[in-house]
Amino acid sequence: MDATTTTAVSLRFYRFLPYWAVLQTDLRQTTRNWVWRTWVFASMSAALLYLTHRFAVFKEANFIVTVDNVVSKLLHFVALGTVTLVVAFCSGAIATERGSLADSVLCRGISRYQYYLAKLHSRLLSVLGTYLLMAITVMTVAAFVFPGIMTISGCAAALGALAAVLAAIVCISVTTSALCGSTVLTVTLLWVGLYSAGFALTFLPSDYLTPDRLIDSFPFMLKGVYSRDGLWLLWKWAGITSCVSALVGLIGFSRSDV
Amino acid sequence: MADSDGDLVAETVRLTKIYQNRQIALNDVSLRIEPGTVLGLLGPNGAGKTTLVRLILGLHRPTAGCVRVFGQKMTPNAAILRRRIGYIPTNPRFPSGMTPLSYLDYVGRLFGIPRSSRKPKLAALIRAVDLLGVAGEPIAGFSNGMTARLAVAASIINEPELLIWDEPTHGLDIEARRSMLDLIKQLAAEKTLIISSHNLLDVDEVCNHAAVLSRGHLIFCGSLTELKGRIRKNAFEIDLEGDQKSVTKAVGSIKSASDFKSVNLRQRRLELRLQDEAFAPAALANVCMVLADNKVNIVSIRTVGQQTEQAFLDLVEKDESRGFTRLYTHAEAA
Repeated sequence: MDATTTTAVSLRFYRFLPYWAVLQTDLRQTTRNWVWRTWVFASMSAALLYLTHRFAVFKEANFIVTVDNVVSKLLHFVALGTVTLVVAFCSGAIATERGSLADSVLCRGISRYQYYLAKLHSRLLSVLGTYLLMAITVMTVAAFVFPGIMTISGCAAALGALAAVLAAIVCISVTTSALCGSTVLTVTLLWVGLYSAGFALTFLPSDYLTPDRLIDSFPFMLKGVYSRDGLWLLWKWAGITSCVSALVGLIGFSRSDV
Repeated sequence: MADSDGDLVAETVRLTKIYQNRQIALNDVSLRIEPGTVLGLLGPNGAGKTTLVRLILGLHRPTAGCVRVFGQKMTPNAAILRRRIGYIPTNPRFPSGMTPLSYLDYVGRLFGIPRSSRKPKLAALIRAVDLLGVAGEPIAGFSNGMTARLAVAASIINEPELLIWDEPTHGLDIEARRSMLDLIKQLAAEKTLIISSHNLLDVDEVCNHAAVLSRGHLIFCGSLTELKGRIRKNAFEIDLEGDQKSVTKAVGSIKSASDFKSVNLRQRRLELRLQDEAFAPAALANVCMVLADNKVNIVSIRTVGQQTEQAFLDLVEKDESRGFTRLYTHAEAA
């Protein structure tokens, strides 16, 4: 080993390069992760099988199968599957790297804020990107195959509403991961928290578009029949929940030992 | 001593770390590291060496006290200070699926080094640490030695002023260990180093200062010479060269001197133990004169035992035997 042979360069530093480095590396590793690949493959196969089955029922048995019903069912499955992926995937975002990999990253010229935000944004991009890609694909296929009414604005509203809920869950997951010491504890807390929150939300007045009511309203929403106020309220609360949990995670992580 | 606190590379002031109100990892540690120092951080397992290193790097937050690096307070968000530090953890871990090239590029970006200077730098480093042949191979299959070399390259990619290496020779074979020690000696010429190690021989070879931790307490901080000076210096070994008759005659003369408790000759090695009140330089000067008179040459002369190791063990033993008196007397380091 000869240290003296290295090039003597007067180094300049770019402030946001560490953030981009963690973001890009995390995204790259996500797409190479077997959990992610398996999940995408299994979800797409299941969606395809379901479409084929409904198409057969529609063509051979002459049952009435409308596009809004098929797509709302598929969105329901995609949403449930994505929530599972979010929990499995985001719970380890920071907790699994604590004390080992994070140690070798955080000892470099990166602040805790940058590291946390890079991880959060990477998980948001990968989860929402995957969800939107899958949902748009099945919607498009269904639109060409099945009869019935499905408006573009209705599809956008349904996709947007579900995306807002998923974004909030991602933020809560990454925050829990940043504040907890272990992945097992994070997963446990997340499942208990999500079920409890889901149950508590059912007691809200009917004006509020809670996740279960959102799923029930998909067939109407896809046809373009939905309450703009209800949707706005959902986006607003999902946004507030996301921002607050991200802020809590940011402050908590920047004050914790790794 | 540095003229002012601003000149210090690192400084800890009454640093204390207690984990979850259960474990006291570090207790009231005050340490000043001046530029050009090669500090050996010594201590038994669980003494708090890694905790101290992690506090200096801002990976942990102190329970009390503070850490200053380059005159500024170190915090978890002090990225600007960490850009001036190169760190090697005890067991370096690398992101899966990366090669030396992609890993060093990643580390370079983590330091915020732009592409124009990052790429030439990492190419030169890969060549310097002799990983050119495996630059595109996955790190997962690397040996300990190769991993250590890659960790070294990653720690100096940002041209740091302070290097903190935690157990740098851990798990290395003899050849790799030698290379690592030679590299430390080279780097010591222009950088400040903190070497945390169990291996006292390594510290003895490359460090000029030592800090000894015992159960989270700093029990010594000073130059290595000072540390060695704490051991009893009344036993010496001299390897001799000359015909047997002259050696025997010289030893006979030395035995008659009053300065020595015992004088033993084993083969050509003369073992001397001085009286407690004897002045070592004068006694040794007399020995040299007797040897010269008898035309006996000296091959080597040394104090008995591994000096650093002995001094370290003496310190730890002394600290442990102090019991409750620790409450009333400050650490010798202070």
